[in-house]
Amino acid sequence: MIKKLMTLIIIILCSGCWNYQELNEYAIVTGMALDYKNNEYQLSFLISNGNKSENDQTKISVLTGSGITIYDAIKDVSLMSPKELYISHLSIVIVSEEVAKNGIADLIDFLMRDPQSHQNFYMVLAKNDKAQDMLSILSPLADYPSQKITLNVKNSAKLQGKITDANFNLFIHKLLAKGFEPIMNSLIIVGNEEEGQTPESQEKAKQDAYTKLDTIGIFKNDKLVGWATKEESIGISMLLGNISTVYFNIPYYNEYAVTVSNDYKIDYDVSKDKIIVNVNAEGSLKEISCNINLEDKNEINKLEKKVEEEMKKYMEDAIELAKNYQTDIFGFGNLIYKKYPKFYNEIEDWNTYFTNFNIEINTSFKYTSRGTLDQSLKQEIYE
Amino acid sequence: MTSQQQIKIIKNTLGNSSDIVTRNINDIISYIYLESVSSDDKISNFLMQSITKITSIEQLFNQLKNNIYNSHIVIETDINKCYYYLSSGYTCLFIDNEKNFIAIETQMKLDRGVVESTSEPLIRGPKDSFTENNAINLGLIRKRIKDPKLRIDELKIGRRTNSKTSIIYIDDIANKESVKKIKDILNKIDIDGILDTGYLRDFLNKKQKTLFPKIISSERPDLACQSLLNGKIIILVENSPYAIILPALLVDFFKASEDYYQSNISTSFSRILKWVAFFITITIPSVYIACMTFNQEMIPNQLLISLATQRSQVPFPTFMEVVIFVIFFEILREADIKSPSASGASMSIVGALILGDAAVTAGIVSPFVIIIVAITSICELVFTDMDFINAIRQWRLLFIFSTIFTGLIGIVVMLLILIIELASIESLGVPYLAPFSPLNLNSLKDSIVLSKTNKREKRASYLTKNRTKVKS
Repeated sequence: MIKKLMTLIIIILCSGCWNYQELNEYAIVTGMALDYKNNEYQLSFLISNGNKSENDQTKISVLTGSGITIYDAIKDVSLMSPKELYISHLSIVIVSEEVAKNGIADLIDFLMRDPQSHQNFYMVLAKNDKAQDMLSILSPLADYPSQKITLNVKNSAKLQGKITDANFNLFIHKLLAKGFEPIMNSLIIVGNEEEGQTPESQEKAKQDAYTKLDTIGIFKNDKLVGWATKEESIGISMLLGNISTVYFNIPYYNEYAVTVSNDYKIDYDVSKDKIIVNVNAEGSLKEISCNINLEDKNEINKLEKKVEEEMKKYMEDAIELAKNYQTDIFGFGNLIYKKYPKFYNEIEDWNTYFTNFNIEINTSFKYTSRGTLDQSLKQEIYE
Repeated sequence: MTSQQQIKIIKNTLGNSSDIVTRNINDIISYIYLESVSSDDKISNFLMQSITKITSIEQLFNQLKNNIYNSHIVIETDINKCYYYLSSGYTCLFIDNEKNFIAIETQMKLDRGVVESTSEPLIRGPKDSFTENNAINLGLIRKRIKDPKLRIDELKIGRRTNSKTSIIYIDDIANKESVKKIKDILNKIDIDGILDTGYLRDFLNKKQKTLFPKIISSERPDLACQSLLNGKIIILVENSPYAIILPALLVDFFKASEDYYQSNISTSFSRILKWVAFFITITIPSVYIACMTFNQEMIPNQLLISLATQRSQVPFPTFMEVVIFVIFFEILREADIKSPSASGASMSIVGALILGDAAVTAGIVSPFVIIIVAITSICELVFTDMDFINAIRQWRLLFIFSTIFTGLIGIVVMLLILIIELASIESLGVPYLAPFSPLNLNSLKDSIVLSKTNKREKRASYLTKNRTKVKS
């Protein structure tokens, strides 16, 4: 009995505490921002578990370090942190325009290699401003900035076509797949960024600064090559087929009929010389400022035609943009590769081949509802 | 030998105890009883009346035997047996020059009567419970099962206490071998005394060491009768309001007698809740420790940050925090059960305020630990069997200690050990995990879920060979 007991005690005590680490000895990193300065990486970490302030709010802290490699920069940051940096719960990575233009392969290599990081977080580009500033813009609508940005991307991607729901995993997938190039959402700061970083700004109903999602950035391999406009962003999302809701301002009789499509289906007809994109969409009217009689079936048909044309235009513009930058962000090359792998391998460089590749777009649109009003309200008031 | 001489011998043996009462009538008849356990009324009303009606002294013994107003009289030759009768509340009657004596039942009622069950209350169903009186206990069973095949075998255990112990079973349902096994075990017991059925526990599971109970203790006669009808065996001991039900399986601790009086759907629902509570109450504190100290990546982002901020003011390591609080709660509970109800109020104030709110404000524990301990103890309260609750408490501590050193892996290992342990126990030859392992499809109808009464046609094959329950 004593022998057994001794064995048990020795087994337990000699194992030590193996992977033991108290939670409050960690500095939990929820956001990361990467900038360039004097040919060095500037890495900023958003640490979200500071002590509680007097009004029971958790304080956050942004630490910035620099180094010639990413890891070098992380070690520089850890010189400032009283606790061990813990990046398993990273939820957002912000990359500045400058870094993205030079290529983000280093960053991606580090994030994929690190056993601590999960690959579920979002990546966004910092347009115009420094990435580290975006990490420190406080918002009363979320507990800490990274949460605000993450939820912002998630919900905007669900509700409008301008934003893609592209997390890190999808980004690497596109980066490594044949005939596919990645895209990334971008973030801008609206207002005075210096003021926006103070807690006083948060006390106000109208904050001094806030972050806002902007248009899509287009990549070629790991380098940012250009920006899409708002319309082109919608076109890109439509061609990728990963949208659930998208809206269009349809010009009609010199005014607009706003149409929302909430049932959107896309399929691709792939052949060696061309790809036919068939889009089937259904939707409803949201706002009418033009003169239109909604009880007239012909009018509706005419409007539907107009929507189809508009959708086609959005997509064609997006393709035109991609062809200008010689980067196939829609994955048409990937479709060809999946169907005709031998044919694809004969092509020397898909991205240059893509510029002359024929892509045909067919759209069809149907209204399922026109809202609770039969007429344009403007029409009823003035007639 | 005169009757007075015989009584003198008895008095000497009993050491002239103060509760001995003797009387001599006409120098021929003497009787003796112990006033502490006998009813004076019964003796004066019935015994004295019968004796005074006798006129001749011829054939005195036979006259007495036939004329005493009492349905329960015993004629004994061995004077040594009269001590048992005296202690049981009998009056012993001696006649001059007669070897035999008559023991007449004149017991005083020394029980509290049939009252409502306190440890296993229920909402819908019979409210009576076993008491300390053996005859009443047997009666509560007998009046429910009016079957000639109901067997009550009695033996006496305890050199000094001589406690009546009854083994109750239904002859054509219960497994004969099990009955024989129990009788053998009980006959072999040589102990100075047993005061409760709890004394028998260790004799009944001598072979295997386990924390889980292999007997069910219940004070509900309806549960006892349900078990009898399913082929189980019951042991009752004089002066104990708890019946032992054998064999006991894991599923039995998730059942209540009430289950069969309600609709099967609501019973199934409450049983599923009990199974969930069983796993929660065993594992939750250790899962908390594992998540906080080893496997932080398991916690969702926002919860992690709120946990980390809560923890930041606590100076102790997480496991110490949990262990201290779990042990505090065990002590509080122990004190609450044992303390008289008058001090219960102060106990709850101390428990709720000092252990709860004040501990958090003082920064000794984080609020989340209190939630964890509260969940744990609430889930524990769904069970009624004290032995089973104790097993859960001990296993919970084992889980906590293994987690302190190895995190989630420790929980997985302990779960494996728990399953191995459960699978290796047998209660009276029946596997503890039946009907899951070995799988018995028919008995699954009354396990985690309960099917309708008319669909449960057969008894469990591991309990009995006579299996027809409902005839369609």
